[in-house]
Amino acid sequence: MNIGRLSIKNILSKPLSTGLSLVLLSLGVGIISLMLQIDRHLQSQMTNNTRGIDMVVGAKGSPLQLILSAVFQIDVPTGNISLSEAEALQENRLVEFGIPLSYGDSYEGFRIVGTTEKYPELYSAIIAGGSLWKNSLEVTLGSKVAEKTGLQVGDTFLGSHGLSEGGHVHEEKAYVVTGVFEPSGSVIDQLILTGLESVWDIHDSHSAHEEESMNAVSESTDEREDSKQTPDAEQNYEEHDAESQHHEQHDPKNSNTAHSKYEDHADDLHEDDREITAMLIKFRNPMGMVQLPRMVNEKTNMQAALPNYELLKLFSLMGIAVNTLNILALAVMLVSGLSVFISLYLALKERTFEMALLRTYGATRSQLLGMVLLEGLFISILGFLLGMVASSVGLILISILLKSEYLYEFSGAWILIEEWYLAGITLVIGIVASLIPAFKVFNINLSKTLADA
Amino acid sequence: MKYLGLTHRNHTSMLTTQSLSFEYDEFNRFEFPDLHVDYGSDLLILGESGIGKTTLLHLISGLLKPKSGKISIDGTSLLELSEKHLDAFRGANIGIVFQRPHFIHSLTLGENLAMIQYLGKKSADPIRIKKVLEGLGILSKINFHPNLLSQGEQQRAAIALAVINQPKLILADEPTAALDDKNCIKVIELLKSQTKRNHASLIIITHDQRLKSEFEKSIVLQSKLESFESKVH
Repeated sequence: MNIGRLSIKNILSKPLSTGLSLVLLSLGVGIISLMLQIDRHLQSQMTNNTRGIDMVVGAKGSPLQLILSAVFQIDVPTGNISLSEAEALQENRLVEFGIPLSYGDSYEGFRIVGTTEKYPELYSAIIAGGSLWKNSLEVTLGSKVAEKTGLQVGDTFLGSHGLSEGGHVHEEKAYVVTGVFEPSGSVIDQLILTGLESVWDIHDSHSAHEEESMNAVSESTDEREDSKQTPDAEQNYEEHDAESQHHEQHDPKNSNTAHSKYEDHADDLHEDDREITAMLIKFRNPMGMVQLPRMVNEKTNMQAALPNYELLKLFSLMGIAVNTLNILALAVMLVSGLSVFISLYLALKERTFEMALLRTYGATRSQLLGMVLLEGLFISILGFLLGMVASSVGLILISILLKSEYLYEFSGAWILIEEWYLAGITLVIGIVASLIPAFKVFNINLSKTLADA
Repeated sequence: MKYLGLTHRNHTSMLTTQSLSFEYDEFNRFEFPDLHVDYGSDLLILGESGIGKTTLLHLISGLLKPKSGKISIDGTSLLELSEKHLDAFRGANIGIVFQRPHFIHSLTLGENLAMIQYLGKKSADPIRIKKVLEGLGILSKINFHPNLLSQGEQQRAAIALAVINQPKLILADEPTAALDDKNCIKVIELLKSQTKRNHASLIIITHDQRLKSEFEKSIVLQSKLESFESKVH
């Protein structure tokens, strides 16, 4: 038996007030730690996925949406751009390389992305089995895709239209799996990669097929910036429909002949009017950063977005929310400090005699002071640990949620430097809360206390 | 007048006090008669309420500092000890039985005793704890929290707390005030037998006249004025 054990016994002997202090403290610690962890994970996920990409070129619209859809594959695309125009940009002397991306179809929620072999190279994705796609309709699977769908090299599957599950299934042509990537911890893990031609091939027939049932839609295929040749998300459908209707009203004669006009036109499309969804660009030197975005935005009908700039904007927006929550959590922690203080203080009133008793049995002032301080300290240590456990559980839950929503995953957990500060703050709160009670115990009037009892 | 210092050990006296006085304020001033308790002998101090009985007990146990006078326990002058040493001395040498039993609520009876051993700088001795509890007939309650014991058991447990460290001096403050005649005798018998068993001296301070017949030696505290006069004579 010693002072430390007595402190623990004292804490345990008042489970309600100890419980309240612990709940409040761990709530505060948990929220702050969770915020820190989410922030860390998002930042590392984002920077991990933007490596090497200086600029993204896509259809005009929200630059953030373009980045989110083209780099992170979590938002719907802004629309389509002309391949020839994008390729012209690739020839610019300030561009080191450009990677075309064409997407809009999915399989069981995983996006099918038409691109070049430069794309997996950018993320240093290594083939685990099989080989990269070579011909049209051949695909290579990201590690997560292979794991979740159970597809293996040689298997075939049908893609469906749209980026979420339950879209129209392209029944005419099946993809063949030629390879699977090793896990790379990047966006590649969640993607099905194929050649650009695959996407075009699928949708040439798909559009023709769809055209039979949707007469009005075909009318706009002669519009260059329109997106019928490559797949697009539902959002674009709506815009598209609206535009088509607008056309109908504007030029009703045209719509009657639309069917035949489309079929004539479809054959010409193959070379000049190929479209892609976006192009990822790496600059040869920093001059590109200065010249190219402005050039693209002013002289073409494409838009250029800079991932680093857009992400910085996003993080600063998120930062406001995160800071608000952190302040709230800190307030909760302070309240918990108050709760520790009140609990110790009230217990002390009940226990003044007990303290005097301890003194008569030989306890020194410092031992009693230590005992009360230890009680505050134990509660804060326990509260911190509980908070960390709560934060880990929360992170796992959020990770599961994100996985089902965005196919994104948080992985790897370690204690952040900020969490050591958090531990320090928690301990200080515990000590400060027990300081006044401890001081009162230190200055206890033995004789008076014993005589009054 | 005998000189009682730290270096000089008087082998016949367990406790000696000399012209002790204490004042809370100018209207509450107490002067106490000199006390002299031999090794192994007991003393009953009788006095009416308000005469300063508890004050005297606190002076002897070093919980209060006297305004003047000297206290020597087993050859050690209490007034010459620093506060820290006084705490340690008290823990090791003095056992106190309070009017109403008090315990450390978060601990079981056994843990209470272990804690007192720790505070009295004695080595942890579970056998000693069991022996004391057995002698008081409450060994079966060792793992109970004290507030779950009956009043009689609590009274005995309080005695266990006072004797566990084998103090040289056991002080009891009104130990029988709340008890009926039957239990009163029982508690006094227990206190006396435990004191004998631990080779200690027992000092009971009380207003309870029933105890007078139980002790060979007793002293009556008188009011300030009378004791002052008797001192002048």
